[in-house]
Amino acid sequence: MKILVVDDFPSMRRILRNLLNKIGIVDVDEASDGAEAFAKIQATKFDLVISDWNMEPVTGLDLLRRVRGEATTSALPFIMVTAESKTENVIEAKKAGVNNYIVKPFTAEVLKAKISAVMG
Amino acid sequence: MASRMTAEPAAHDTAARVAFRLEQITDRLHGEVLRLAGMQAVAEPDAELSSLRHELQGMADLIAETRAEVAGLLPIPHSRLTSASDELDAVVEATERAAVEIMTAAERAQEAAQTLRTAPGLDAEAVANVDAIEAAMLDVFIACSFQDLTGQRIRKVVQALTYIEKRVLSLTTLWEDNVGLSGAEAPAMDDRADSHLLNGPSASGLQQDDIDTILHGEPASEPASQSDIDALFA
Repeated sequence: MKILVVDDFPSMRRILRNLLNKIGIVDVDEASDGAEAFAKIQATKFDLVISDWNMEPVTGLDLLRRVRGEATTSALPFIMVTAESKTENVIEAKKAGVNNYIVKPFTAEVLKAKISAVMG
Repeated sequence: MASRMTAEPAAHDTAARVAFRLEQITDRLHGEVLRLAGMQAVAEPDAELSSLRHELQGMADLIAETRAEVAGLLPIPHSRLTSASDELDAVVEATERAAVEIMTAAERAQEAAQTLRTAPGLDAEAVANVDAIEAAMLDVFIACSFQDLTGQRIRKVVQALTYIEKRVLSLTTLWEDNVGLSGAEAPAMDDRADSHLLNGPSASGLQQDDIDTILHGEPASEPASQSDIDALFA
């Protein structure tokens, strides 16, 4: 499984990569914002995107909408991992087509469970 | 009281027009208050009029003081707000460095544990200890996500400070240009009785939701828990 981790904080990308390695996923690429992530998604075939919400200039929600708006990437599984835990944020992401939503901070077990729920 | 304004600013400059209008209102209010304060008692008891005059004089003083204070918010090169923003940026950088160092150490421990796991003749107790070390290192990694969360919040504070700073500098520049009052006329220090509140709330104080609950019986916006979110995706 090839996963793209998107977060503007290098330490958070490192944490996610480490947790993914611990649950047996080693093919992990990284992007520091939505624009870089979208360019990588168009250039490479990923099985799953795990993205933060709060990034500039292109947020995680913007990235999600772009991914859903492109015919070639519209079905790409997408998990939002963010501190934005207000109900309206979750509903907004769901309307935009997010597959699942993880609130920071989280455990490896939660990450594994959400990936399993999305990927089957 | 004669206005110190000499000419109305260009119509396209909204901020300047607002400052011009504010100056007009303030001047008129100040003049009226001074006029009322100077009136002599005629029919009312002297004590009441004296009290009224005292109150009006207080209002006039307050208006004058406020004008001086606004003018005193000088656009100096390195203001307190700029300094505060820089300090908060430094906090983000320092916590980022600390988190990286912690994670680097945790990764070294993980690698050592993995090497140890492959050592020949490892008994069950040793394997259990290796498992415990790896689990602990994973917990260390997860705990490092504090840096991301605090960093995001501090960024928002820095953005708010920057926004306020720009607006204050813009207003004070307009005020100086249009009113002609310089910062030298303003009080150098804030000696109001509640000036300590400018230091912000205590970290151990109530959160907004706590206060909303106390005042209205329910929070304004409740963050959802992971289980609440799971229910939305069920």
